[in-house]
Parts: sequence; structure tokens; C-alpha cells
Amino acid sequence: MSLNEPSTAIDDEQRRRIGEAMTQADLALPQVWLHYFSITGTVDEYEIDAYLNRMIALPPTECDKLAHAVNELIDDIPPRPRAPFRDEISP
Amino acid sequence: MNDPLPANEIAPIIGRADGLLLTEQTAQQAVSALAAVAKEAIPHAVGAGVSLITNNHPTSVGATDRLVRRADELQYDLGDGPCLSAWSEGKPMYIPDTESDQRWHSWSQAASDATGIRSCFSVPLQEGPRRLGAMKIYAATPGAFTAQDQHVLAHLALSAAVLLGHIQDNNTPQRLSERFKQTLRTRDTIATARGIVMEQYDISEDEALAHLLTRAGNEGVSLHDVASTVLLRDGRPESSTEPR
Repeated sequence: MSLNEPSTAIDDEQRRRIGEAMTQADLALPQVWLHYFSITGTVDEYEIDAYLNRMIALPPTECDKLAHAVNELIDDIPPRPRAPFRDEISP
Repeated sequence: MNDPLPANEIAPIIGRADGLLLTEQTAQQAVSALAAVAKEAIPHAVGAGVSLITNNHPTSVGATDRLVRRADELQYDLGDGPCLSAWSEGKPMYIPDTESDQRWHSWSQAASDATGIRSCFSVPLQEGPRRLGAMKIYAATPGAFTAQDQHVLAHLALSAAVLLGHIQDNNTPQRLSERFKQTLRTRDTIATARGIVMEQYDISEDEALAHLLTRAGNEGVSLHDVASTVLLRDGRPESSTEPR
């Protein structure tokens, strides 16, 4: 983990959007970390927390694993119910 | 996704990952250490320990000395005593002198006769709303414990309660371990697939994972699914069937 390297614009953008995706989807950190861990994530939950709070940088691979973990969890969220047309309702 | 969220499960999993699994055994060892600290830190204490009460059934944990276990057993046999009261009322209990004590008369007499214990201080172990038991110190002299000593024990009891509260939280060990095993199985599958891909394409670990991530993205499936496919193909080259 690179603690002292200055973060790049890409780092910041990815971090911000991961955080935003989590907030939007109402994903809690423990849940995200567990999933991240299951896809071979190697850093601890508190480090993810620190990363999301812009306190440390993570290696690019870990950032991508985290992003992927978040996306899989978002994919798992059941879609909102849709309104049916009349002929879709069986009598 | 409607599982109650894993705050309680995460700690043990991190613990396992770090080789610091908070099993009942390790928690009890930690509590034993706290009891030993209590005995050492409190000048006149001749013994310390914890009574853990589960489903109204008390057991002694981390008793520093035989007399602690005997005095505890007397409480359990009589169904009365300062630790049981500390637990049931959620308040610290103090016996300045067992020979003149009236409140737990039977126990005080028995303990004084059998073990020579003359004073006792017991604090409830509380984790959130749950009362787990009590932590106690015994002394062979009357009025042995100062307010400062009581303060020390109360502090140690806080730590003991957190430790013991955690193992009791895992009252659903089946579910916990099932979830944990699943997490590890997934992780294992992905790591194995990553290894296969590294070998296949002669690329680094990170590149192999990036490769799998890209495939998952392109195929619109989970990383676990991609990894399972890689494993299936590797194990059974003729198999081009769907994973699972």
C-alpha cells in the first residue's frame, strides 16, 4: 500500500465514485468489505474505510476489486417493481 | 441481502484472517488474563474470576485460584451469593465482611468456613442490554477493598464483558460459519482461477485478476461465476457447459 504517494486525479475520481455508488445503493461498509474480501481483496475493513475517507491510497488492483465488489452488490439489489399495462394483468 | 448485517460476523472474520479468531477458547483465555490482572492489581485480593451465566446456568471462567472456584460453586449450589445478585440486579455488590454479612448469610458463612474468604466485591458484566454474568474479587481480610480497587475491577469487567459478549453474539455459529465458509470458498475459487489464468497467459497476479474482472464485466456475470467457469474448463476440458 502506498501511504505517501500523492494521489492522482484518477485515484480521487475512482474513490469518489465508489463512495457515491455505495451511498446511492445504501451499501454499508461491512457488507462491501465482506464481498470485497470474497473476491480476493487483501486489505482490512478499516483500511477500506480510510481509503474511502481519503486518508490512504490503495494499490490500483485493490481499488478495482473494491469497485467490482460494489458493482456486484448493486447488481444483486432487486429491481424496483414496474407498473403493469392492463393486458399484463391476468383476470 | 436481508441478513442482519454482519457487524458481528465481520470481527470474527477479520480475526480469522489475522489469525486472531475470537473463539470461545481465546475469549476465555483473555478473560482469565483479565482476572489475573485484577488479582495482581488489587492489593489484598486472594483470587479473582468471572461467573458467566447462560440460560440461568452459571459457570466459572478464569478463576485465578482454587478458592475462587470453591466460593463460586457455593454460590451456584445455594443459588444465592453476591455474584448472582450482581448479575440479576445489574449492580455491583460488596461484602465488607462475610462473618457479619446478613444479605447472603448462608453463602457468606459457607464461604468463610470453607475458603477463609472475608470480603468480596462483584460487578456485573454487561454488554449493551445483555447481562452476561459477574466479575469478582475475593480477599481473606475483612474490608479489604477500597473505592479505588472497586474502580479497577469495574474497568476490567468492561473489557471482560466485551470479550465474552462477542462469543455469545456468535450464538448462531452455524450461520456464521456457513457464511464464512461460503466467503472463503468464493475467495478460494477466484484465487485458483487467477492462478490458472496467470499460467495460461504467463501474466502477473494483478494482470490475471484484471483479466478476470474484464471478463466478468463483458459477460455481465459475477467474478465468482467467471472463476468457476475457468475452473470447470481447466478440470474438464470437454465441458463447455454453464458453471453451476
